[in-house]
This record gives sequence, C-alpha cells and structure tokens, in this order.
Amino acid sequence: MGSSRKIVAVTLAALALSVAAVLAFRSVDHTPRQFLYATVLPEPMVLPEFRLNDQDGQPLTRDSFRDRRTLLFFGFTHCPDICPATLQQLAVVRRKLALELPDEQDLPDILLISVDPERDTPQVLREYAGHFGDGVTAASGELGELTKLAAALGIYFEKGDVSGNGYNVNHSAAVLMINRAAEFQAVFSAPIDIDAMFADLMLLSE
Amino acid sequence: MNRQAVMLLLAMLVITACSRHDGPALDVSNVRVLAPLPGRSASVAYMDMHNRSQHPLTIDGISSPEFVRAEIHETTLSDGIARMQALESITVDAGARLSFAPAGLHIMLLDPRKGLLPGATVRLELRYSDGGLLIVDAPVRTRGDDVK
Repeated sequence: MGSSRKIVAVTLAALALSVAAVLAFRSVDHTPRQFLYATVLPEPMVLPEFRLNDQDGQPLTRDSFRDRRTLLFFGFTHCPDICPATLQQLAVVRRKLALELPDEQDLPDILLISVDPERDTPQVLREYAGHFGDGVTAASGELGELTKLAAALGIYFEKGDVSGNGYNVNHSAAVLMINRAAEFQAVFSAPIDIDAMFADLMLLSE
Repeated sequence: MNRQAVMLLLAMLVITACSRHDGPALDVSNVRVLAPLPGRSASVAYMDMHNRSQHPLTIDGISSPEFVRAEIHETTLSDGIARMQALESITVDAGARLSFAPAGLHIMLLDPRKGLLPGATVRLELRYSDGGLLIVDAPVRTRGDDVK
C-alpha cells in the first residue's frame, strides 16, 4: 500500500507540474509567427567588428547599426541590372512601410555595401545612392574589411570577367536584415518579392 | 489586301518595330531603355520577344547609333549568387516568347555618344543570324518607373 500511495503522490505531483507548465507556457504567446519570405535566424548573430567608410567618408562600424533596423545588400555601382533593380525594390518596400509606420525611426535604413572598392569611392557611392530616394545610402572600404564582414554574413563576392563594362563582380544577391542591436536577424533571398518582404518586415517590427 | 489590313500592318510597324528582313520576324513589345544612373554611363534595354513563326530565330548582334557598343548580357542567379555574362547570340524557338527583364537577359548599352535623358528615343538594331535587321525604337525611361 505504501508504495502505491507513493506512486499516486508522484503521479499527482507530476500532473500538477504539467498543468503549471502548460499555464506558464500559455501566459506567453508562443504562437510561431508565419513569415512568408524571410528566413529568420533562431538566434540573431552579432555582427563582427569591422571598419568601412560610408558615402561621406565617415567610419562605418558595427556600432553604426545600433538603434536602427537596416536592410543590407552587397553589390556595386557598375552592376547594370540586378543591383539597381534590388535597390529600387527595397526603396519601394520602404515606401510601403512608411504608409503603415508613421515614425521614421521604425523604417529600415537601406544600405548598399559595395564589393568594388576600386571604383566605388565615397563620392561615386553618394551620387549613386542618392538616386534611390530617402533612406538609401552606400558604403565600402578595404578589401580585407569587406571580406571579414561578408564572410561572417555568408556573403560571397569575387571579381569576375572583364566585360564591355570594365569588369564584373559576382556577388550574393540576398538582402540581410540587421536589427537594432546590430545583429544579423533575417535574410531575404534573391529575387526580391516586394509584397512578401513588406509583410515580413511588418511582422518583424512588432 | 484591303485598306483595313494595310492600316493595321502600318500601325504594327510603327508601334513595335520594323524589320529589314525577308523571312519571318520577331514581334517585339514593352521595349524600354533605362537612363543611366548618376555617375554611370552604361544603360540597359529590356523588351519582350515573341516568335510567331514556324522557325527558330536567332539574334547574333546588336548595335545602336546612340552608343559606341551594345551587347547581350545575362544575369544568372545560382545558389543565391548573381553572375553576369555576355552572350554571343540568343535564339527564340518557334512559337516561343523570350523576355529581356531585370535580373535576367538584358541589352547593355555602353559609351553613349551623347547624354541620354528620359523621354528620348534610342534606336536598337538587332541583327538576325541570316543578316536581316530588326529595328526597334525604344523610349528612354527613368529607372524605377516600372517597379511597383
């Protein structure tokens, strides 16, 4: 009898714990958010230390990403096709977000990091980025620093063949989202889906 | 040929393209040249092609009086990496459509002979592999106009 009482007591205790656990779980909203397009990292990744130059020649470091959300794209200004198309699309996404998020602080910055520092000087970058409208800027820097940041983010780039346009740079075409804590939080693979990206960024801004 | 058919034919020639070509021709629509970005001289042209004929049609050369050089390029996305390569020619199969569009096929227009502003017109001369010409007048647009 003693042993069966013990079993009952243990069973009851286990049951009580389970109920408590369920109640505790329910008190927090654990419903997984449904992203249409973004691949969201289970644990955001802290950016490595790096030092680039923005389009005004000022240092761009990990700390530059704090307190703002950033949509980051690696490309180059001589890229005639996919780079301007992507920046154009990101600018449209930002304009759509602006209709829903009245506080400018909630809108993502759009940053082109040029993987062609040989040709993309700050002046070239400033002139180029200005074409795409509010919130779009560009940066670049020494190859070693670019490689350090790109490698940490899983971004590939490599100087390609000489063509009629000088030379090409082959590069990953994904767009990365960096959160306000300067962490890599989500990636949007190419080609860009404007509506799905807008919906996911609304979710990520909650 | 009745008058209506002649008018229709003339309209089609004016709206799309004209062809100095004895054989079957490609229908070309949605043609546009995107003005160069600030600080850049290269432009890009996009269009849709439709081969209504019974035979494959090959374009193996492009030129434009407004540019020193024009080339067919293709951006490909493989494993998320964008690469660009020049193509010697493109072939549109019988009955098939082919789009020159962002992040895919495009015509690179290099070294403009004069400044190119939105609203201008650029003449594109596409050469068929048998020597005929497909001449397309393309309006110059601002980049981003077709991104919604």
